[in-house]
Amino acid sequence: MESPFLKANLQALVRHPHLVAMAQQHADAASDASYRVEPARTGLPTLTIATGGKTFSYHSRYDPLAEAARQADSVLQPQHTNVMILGAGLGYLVDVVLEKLARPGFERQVYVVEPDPQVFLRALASRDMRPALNDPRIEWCVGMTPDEFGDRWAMGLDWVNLDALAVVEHPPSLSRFHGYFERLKEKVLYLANRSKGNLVTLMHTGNEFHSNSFANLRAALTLPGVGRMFGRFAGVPAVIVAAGPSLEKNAALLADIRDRFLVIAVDTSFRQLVARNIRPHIVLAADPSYLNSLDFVGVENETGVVLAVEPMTHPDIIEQFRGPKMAMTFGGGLQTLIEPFREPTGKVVCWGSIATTAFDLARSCGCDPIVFVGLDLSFQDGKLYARGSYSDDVFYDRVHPLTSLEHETVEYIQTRGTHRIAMSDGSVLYTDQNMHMYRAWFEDQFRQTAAKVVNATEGGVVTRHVTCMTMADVVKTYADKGAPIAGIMREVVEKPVRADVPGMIARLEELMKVLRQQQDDVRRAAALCRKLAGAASRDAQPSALTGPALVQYRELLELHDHLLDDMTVYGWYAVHQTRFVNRHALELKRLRADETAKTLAWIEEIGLFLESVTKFHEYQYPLMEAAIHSLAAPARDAVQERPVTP
Amino acid sequence: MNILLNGEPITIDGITPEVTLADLVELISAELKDSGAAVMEVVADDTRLSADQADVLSAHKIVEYQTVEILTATARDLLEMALEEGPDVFDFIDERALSVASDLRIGKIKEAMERQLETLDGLEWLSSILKNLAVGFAPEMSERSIESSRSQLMEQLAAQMTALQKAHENNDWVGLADILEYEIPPITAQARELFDELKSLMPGKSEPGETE
Repeated sequence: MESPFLKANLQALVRHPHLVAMAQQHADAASDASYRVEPARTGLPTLTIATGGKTFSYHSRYDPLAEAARQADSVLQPQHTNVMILGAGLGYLVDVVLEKLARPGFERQVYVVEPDPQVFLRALASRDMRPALNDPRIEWCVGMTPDEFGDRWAMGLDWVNLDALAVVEHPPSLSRFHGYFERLKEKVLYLANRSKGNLVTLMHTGNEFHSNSFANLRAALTLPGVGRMFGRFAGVPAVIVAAGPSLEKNAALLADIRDRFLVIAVDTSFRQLVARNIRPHIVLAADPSYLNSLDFVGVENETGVVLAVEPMTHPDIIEQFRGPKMAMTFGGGLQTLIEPFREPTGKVVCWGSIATTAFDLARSCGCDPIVFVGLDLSFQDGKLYARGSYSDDVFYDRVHPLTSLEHETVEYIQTRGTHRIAMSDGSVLYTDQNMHMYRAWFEDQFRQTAAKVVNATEGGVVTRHVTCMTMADVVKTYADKGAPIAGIMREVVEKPVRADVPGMIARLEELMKVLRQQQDDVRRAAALCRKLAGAASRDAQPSALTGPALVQYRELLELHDHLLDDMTVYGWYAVHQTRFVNRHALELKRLRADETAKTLAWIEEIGLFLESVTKFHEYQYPLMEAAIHSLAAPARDAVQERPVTP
Repeated sequence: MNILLNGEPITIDGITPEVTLADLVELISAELKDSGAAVMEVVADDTRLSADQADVLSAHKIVEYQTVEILTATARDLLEMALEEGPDVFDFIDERALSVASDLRIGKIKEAMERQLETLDGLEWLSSILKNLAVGFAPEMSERSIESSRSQLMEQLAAQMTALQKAHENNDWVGLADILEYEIPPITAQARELFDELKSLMPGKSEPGETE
């Protein structure tokens, strides 16, 4: 591996610590003769690999760069802004793709997947990879499993860009690692579908998330975080109590293990447990809707249970619950704003259902085994949830003399039960689209979880990559395991919280100033629109404008392009105006492509943008005022606030 | 009923209503045995049938037709025809080779393999013509340096066809694409030159580079 490039490339690799570690780990195999690098006719290096008695080429032996250009051209279109390269080889495809994307681009614009570290090492040894290694647009994923890659990709996933994603394949890599890439594509497709679902959710309930997060800002800043629980329950069994219909079968057994196993309940199962005189150690809530806040009606005074809330949760839940509380975060919303002003909150995953969060929390706590009850994810026994959940209240409202609660529930199931699942015991269960996706997520995650995962639901559709047993058997099998849970929970809840409330208030006031500046800019831009809409320039194409009209037009574009430069405020605007942001981006693209577009068309579109910004300001301003007011008010929760030390 | 041989009327004794077109072809082939010519085509009224279509020829009796014409050709005639067809076949091979290579490079293996068979047919045709030229154009070959071009071309083609087969066996699709894109077009280009040179030696044709 003596080469003029290797040393320089390894120096550039330093900005990717995970690649340095990978390179060191595989350095011993670097002299493997089955990988052969030779010059192609153009002088560029090319690679052949001998495996199983066969030798095949990774790149053209004549012109590898031209070949890569053709591979990229067969996929890349002008509308593509994000790229996933499947198979890096010696990096020709990476070079071509970077060249084709407009600069400066953005971080994680290009994901490069190379399953074989040896191939990557050959690239480092044979070519100057520094431009690619130093390019901030690339996220290198070398030697990762498909699941590891999927998790990494999902972390940086921008839902809005999914339609602009191009998958560029290096066919020899795909041919060599067929199963690997099939699994990887399956994973990406699954994540993409889920993310599109998230986008739809954001369009419908984004404002609810955002408003709740501001209303709960004080709680998010000052409550102890679930991060304090991470790693504190190593080897301790956890039971996650979901609210599926089968919960009725074995909920009573939870009383036998409550003092030794960590019992985590989801919001919908909480009332049902209390009704059976069982108290979980912690109940999780994250749903922003009023409807879900009904899960806590009647159980507000359960002071022996810790309520862990995501700041997007409906504020009534936090307001009315009288027991101890903790904060958790999904990483979105106001988390980046809050983070610098408090001790770590503790990040957990949410995959649409709060049961997914409970599972992730149990994993982060170090629990082993992780046992599920009530995880039917299907309409088991003709029911939606175990009896006693808020859904019964909702359906009960619809009942009239000619119908019944059961009839209403069955009608709901008949409408939503779109997935028919034949179980191995010959029974058939129905599930809806959401539960179908949750099932796929759980089974995918079970496969990747080091701890043993047990499904003690005694019903339902979750059977893959999990051990199924009855709850009675779980109690027997793990009778000798456990820990003094109550004591640990008391300790994590009662320890004072490090939070910088004055610092948070100052930051919010800074952002208020940004909003005020934006309001001034909107007024100025609106005046320019009015002037340009005058008869003299409206029907001219922008390129034909001259004199004052041209100056005004340029100023208007400048205001449009930079009005939302503050990334924090832009993030909030994008949530509040999700629909408009998507439509506006498409409309601007259309106008840019239309050489005949008149100035009026541009002003009208910019006018709509200004209207949307004004609507956002009208919504955002009161939220911030109320948040500052709540932070400035004396603390009601017994937490100790002090500046965060770096 | 008229029977023609290469446009000239002929008389054949012993024709009965039971004689089929296949019988007629067999009869005439026997007559031509020592002439070096072979029956190529039968034109029965407006229907053209190849001499290879034995089933069809056996199914029809000659009395069903007003006129039956038998067309024959010698090996040299066939080679001359091949020389005429050559440019079109080379265009076809080049186009197919590039298009198959292109598909292979972007991972469309299935599509490429379907058309690769046609490319191979074209290359096998060229190989067979090159082999037969030594016999059919023996005088021209002995007088000129064409023979050395022909044998050199045959060797190159054989080497590349072996390489194609090996790449296919190894599933080395990039290697296969390289051969099709970079090795086959120079071979067809040389074959074009050789064919042009041979055509120019045929009666009524000009020497290469000679202005007509």
